[in-house]
Amino acid sequence: MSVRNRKDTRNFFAFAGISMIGFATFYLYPIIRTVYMSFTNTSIMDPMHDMIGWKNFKRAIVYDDVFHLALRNTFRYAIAVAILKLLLALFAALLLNNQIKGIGFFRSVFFMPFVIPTFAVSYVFRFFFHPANGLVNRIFINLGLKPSGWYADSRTSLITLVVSSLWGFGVPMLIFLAALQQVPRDLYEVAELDGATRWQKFKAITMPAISPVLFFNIMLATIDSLKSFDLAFLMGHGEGYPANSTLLYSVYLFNQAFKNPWSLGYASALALMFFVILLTLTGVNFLLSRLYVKTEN
Amino acid sequence: MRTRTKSVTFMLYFALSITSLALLLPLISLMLTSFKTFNEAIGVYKWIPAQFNFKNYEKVFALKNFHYWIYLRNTMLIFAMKAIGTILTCTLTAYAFIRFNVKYKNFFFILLLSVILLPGELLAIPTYQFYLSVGWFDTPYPLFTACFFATDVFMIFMFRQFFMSIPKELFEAAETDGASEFKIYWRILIPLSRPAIMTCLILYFTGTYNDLYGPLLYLSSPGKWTMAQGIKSIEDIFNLGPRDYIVPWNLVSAATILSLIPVMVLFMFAQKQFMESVARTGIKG
Repeated sequence: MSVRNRKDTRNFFAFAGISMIGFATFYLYPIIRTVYMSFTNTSIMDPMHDMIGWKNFKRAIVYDDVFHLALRNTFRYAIAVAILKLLLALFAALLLNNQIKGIGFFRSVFFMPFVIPTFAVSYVFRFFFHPANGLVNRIFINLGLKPSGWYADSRTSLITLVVSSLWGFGVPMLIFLAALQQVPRDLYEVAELDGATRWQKFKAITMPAISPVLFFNIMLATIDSLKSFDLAFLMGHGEGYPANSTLLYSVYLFNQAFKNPWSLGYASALALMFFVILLTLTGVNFLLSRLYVKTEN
Repeated sequence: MRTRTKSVTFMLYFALSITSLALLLPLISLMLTSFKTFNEAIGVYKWIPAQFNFKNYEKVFALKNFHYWIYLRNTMLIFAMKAIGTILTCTLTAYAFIRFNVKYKNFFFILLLSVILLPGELLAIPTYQFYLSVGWFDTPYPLFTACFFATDVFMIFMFRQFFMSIPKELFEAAETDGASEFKIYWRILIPLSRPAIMTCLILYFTGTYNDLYGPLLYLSSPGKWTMAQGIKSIEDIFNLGPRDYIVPWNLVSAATILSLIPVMVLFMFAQKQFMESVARTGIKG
């Protein structure tokens, strides 16, 4: 017995040892270092640094107006994207949850935008919404509406970013679809015999049945949209163009850390606060999920 | 199966078609533009170009500061290294977790998984400093080194789930035949893991192809750029003044369409696996 145990322990570390080295080097050490740096004024330009206590946090919370703007943009953007994306995904999944000819083709088409890399998505929508050359304004003019500046106008740029982000709703859609396909058909048949309307069936059968994946999808969508970087970085030319109106948290953090003046200490404090925000929202999601998730028993 | 009336089926097809069209419209608009002349592309939007030819595509390949094949090669090399590292080390780790009984094994596993909650930003700064200090700035090494240390816990989890579906008796039989643990892993487990490895390859391909953050941090000279950087920067070639310069959409759209080809080809040939892989893990690489 103990020979087996010793052999197992030896083998375990022989096979999994590399992951422990990785965990210590690429997760544990960076976190400790980030926490430490957030209390310093480290910058790449000036490797010597001092401990400055809570000053970085105070600067972010009290003084940094651009950061406040980025925070507000991020919340507006994330809430809009999360809600709209999930609605779109659910709508698409409900459409696809029908056994009709050619449904596989439509599923691929619905999913396809997700496959398009973000650097291409940015050009697709910058052209689509281009104030002078784009299709959207052309349609607006044809309909007798006033053309808009879209991403070039700070009043509409965040909305344009939200709409462009909705394109890749394929993942939550597939997750909803998988759950919808698990709902037993006879439940609907019984309800139909009782004369239930479409909406009643949706409310009483479909929603409770998919509520666990709804929770999973809300979680994923919230965190993903709060963390978005690529599209905002690309469409805002890396600086929240125009006039910081599309500046998101992660873009601001990137600029603080990896562009002039490379204030790594301040950026570390921002990263730490970001983590706390994400963790809090994950916790809130968990608590709220008790209200709507129906478990098997 | 419920029976459906004709009108309901018609409505369904109608809704599916309209939604598809709305989703494809931005892409179609860009695709048509890649055949337009410069003047057609930068004027008020028109649907159909006067004539269809591949002149813009030829021009993109002839551009002095845009090197499609180099970007593609660089991206593929990074992808290959990441995939090799992760498949090798994550399968080893996952095997250890399903095969050997060790005290606190579950604790270790949960500890490993907990890093999923960490945002990349929290790790990026010290990691960046570290790679800078070892002189790896402007090299691709920082983009894949971590993969050789089983740092992708999503993949460890995915492989572990897959390995658990393989009957234990298979390993035990090999053990009584005197096979070493490494031999069991290499000769029995890995050949059986093709579907899981395929999932990893698909996710890593799209993930690497899509990644902008990493290359932006570490790759500065254009000869080392990935496709993401090349396409991102193509408009700068024509940028002569302030923000509102004229973008030659005919060329930019042709380059963008070209950049889509590798992922689209993969998607078309492995649609089912693609969607299963992504839905299973819920991530874009």
